Amino acid sequence: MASSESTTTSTTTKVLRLKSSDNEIFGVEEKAALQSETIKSLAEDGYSEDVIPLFNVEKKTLAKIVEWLNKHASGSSKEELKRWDADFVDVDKDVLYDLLLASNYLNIEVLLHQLAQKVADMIKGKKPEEIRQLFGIKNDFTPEEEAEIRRENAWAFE
Amino acid sequence: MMVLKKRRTPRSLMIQKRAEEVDRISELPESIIHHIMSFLSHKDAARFSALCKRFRSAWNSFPFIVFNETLNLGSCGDDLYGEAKVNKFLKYVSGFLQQRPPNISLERFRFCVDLFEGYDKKTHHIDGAIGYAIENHVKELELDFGEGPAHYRFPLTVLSAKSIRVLKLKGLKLGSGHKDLMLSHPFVESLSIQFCIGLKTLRVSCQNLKIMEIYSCKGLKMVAVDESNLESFSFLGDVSSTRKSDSCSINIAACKSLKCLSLENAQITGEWIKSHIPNFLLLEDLKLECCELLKDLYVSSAKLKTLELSDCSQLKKIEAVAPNLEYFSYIGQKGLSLINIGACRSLKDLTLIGARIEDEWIVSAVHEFPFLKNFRLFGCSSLQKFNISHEELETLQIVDCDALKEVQIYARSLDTFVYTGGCTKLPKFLIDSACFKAELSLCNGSKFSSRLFLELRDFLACFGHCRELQITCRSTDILIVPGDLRDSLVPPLYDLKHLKLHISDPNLDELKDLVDSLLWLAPHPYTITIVSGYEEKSLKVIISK
Repeated sequence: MASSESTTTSTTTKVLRLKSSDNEIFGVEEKAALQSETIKSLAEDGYSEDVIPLFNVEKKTLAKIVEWLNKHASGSSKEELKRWDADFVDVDKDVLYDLLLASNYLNIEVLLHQLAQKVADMIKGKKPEEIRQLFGIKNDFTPEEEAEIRRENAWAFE
Repeated sequence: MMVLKKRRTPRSLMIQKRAEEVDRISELPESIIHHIMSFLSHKDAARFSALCKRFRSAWNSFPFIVFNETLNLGSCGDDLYGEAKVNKFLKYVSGFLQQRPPNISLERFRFCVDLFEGYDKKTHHIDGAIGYAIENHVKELELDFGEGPAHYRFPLTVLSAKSIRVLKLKGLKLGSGHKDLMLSHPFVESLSIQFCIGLKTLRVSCQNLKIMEIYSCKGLKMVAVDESNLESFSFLGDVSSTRKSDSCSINIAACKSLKCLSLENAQITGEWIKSHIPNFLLLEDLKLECCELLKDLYVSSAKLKTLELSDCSQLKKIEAVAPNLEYFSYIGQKGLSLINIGACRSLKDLTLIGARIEDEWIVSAVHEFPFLKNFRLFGCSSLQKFNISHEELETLQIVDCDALKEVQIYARSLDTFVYTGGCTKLPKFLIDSACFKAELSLCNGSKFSSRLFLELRDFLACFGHCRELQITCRSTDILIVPGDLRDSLVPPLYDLKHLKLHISDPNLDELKDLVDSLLWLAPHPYTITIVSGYEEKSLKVIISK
């Protein structure tokens, strides 16, 4: 799992400082950080010399995001990244939701894709009751409404 | 770390427990729910939308819409035919569309219905559905009315929709009245026209067009694409017609950026190829299939990587000068007299199916391709005896080369050797390679005589030194060597460590005889595996000395 990213500390590499909603500061190399469109536009707006505040991301989530950004800027091989990504998204549902919200807010398209794919994979081929149980989804339809939906979409339940 | 410790106070535990019950997935923003839905099949997504109100509303605003007669009618459609079936489907479509909120930009809209024979009218329901897609700025529009015989009259308004990037049309009647269509849509990037009628000439001038497919359009006489950004062009001539007069001329000389060109059932000649291909400086893939007018093929191209030639029945001569060609495949039946691809020094993968090539060709060809990794010879029945000596070769497949008598192979890197053939007149293989896997498929013949077992013994003995031997056959007959022969012969696979057997039609009563016989064929195995049907049964062999 060791990668070469930490060993290349040339003086010209610019480091951006990202501040989580609970005031923890993370230093991230510019190249890695700019994979986030949100950070990119904040940096362009003149935040780059200063601390970039990310009001919607807590430090525990930001730490994971930073880990992802660094890995994806480290020049790992495609196969290596694929394996690493599969491990990365293999987390508790709560962490998954936090990451989804954060990658959506930070506008990191590749990560958002991976996370949405992960949730979709958990849903695929399962019966409605299994999905409700897995994600704790409350059925807020009246019995009449539910019957109507099932009738309209009978094909999907065959 | 501090945070983790804090969280483990009893109060936090309670909160955590409550948090588990809170349904966070349906709290996600709608755009994320859409994103998740987009990775589900249409059926899974529809089921998902029936879980709670939030998902229901996300479904109604989902920017991907698929209408498919067979899918959406489900078993309700089983007893319906013709107009009744289409009408029921269209009722579903309008019901669905009525529930959607207005002004949602659509990413994709697919509409697939098989029109019944005799159908020849527009309905406001279908036009309405297509109109809905256009009003909502659809990017990918796919209209599929099947491969005929009925065609839906194409609403020309589609062509003025600025939002469309991908347009796929199948089973439509294009061009109302005028048979010459000039398509100039500035934004469309991918265009596919399949099984459409009503067009005589089609001129395409779309400056962003990258991918274009024309498949089996009856009556089409000319396609002209005047677009320098086009990267991929695929053409399939009308498959329902056999008349020469129905041929369609293809004018793509202006497509200077072409990377992939596929022509099937096209009336193109060797001269066409010779004059056009060198102009496509970026061409990487060329595929020619069932092009009956091709006799002499000369391909010269600097960037070409893949050349596939299939069933061009008049093809007599192939010459390719392509220094970067990596993949060459030829499928044919007869007539071919010359394949000259020696100038393709980068070749890695060579497939010849039904090619009439001689032994000498193989020997010299292999020398000419220093990077060859995969070599497949299928049904080349003029081959009899040849040597292959190659440092890089990894896979060699010899399938149904009936006349083969003897092959010598010196290939240090050989990883897989595949042989398929009958179990009489078995060829002799001398394979000099350190560590390869052999996969043999033997088609069962008639009665088994002692002579045949002798032949089989000699054949198997060619593979005694391989890493793993895999034998596939229909029944076990050929592998149960009679006891008297076992006593008088030397086992052929004396050093074999791993033997795997695939039997499609096993007789389980014979299992004991089979294992006995296998242990005679290969007396010192580490593993013997027998696979029958889908079941894999491994025998662990314990040898007591």
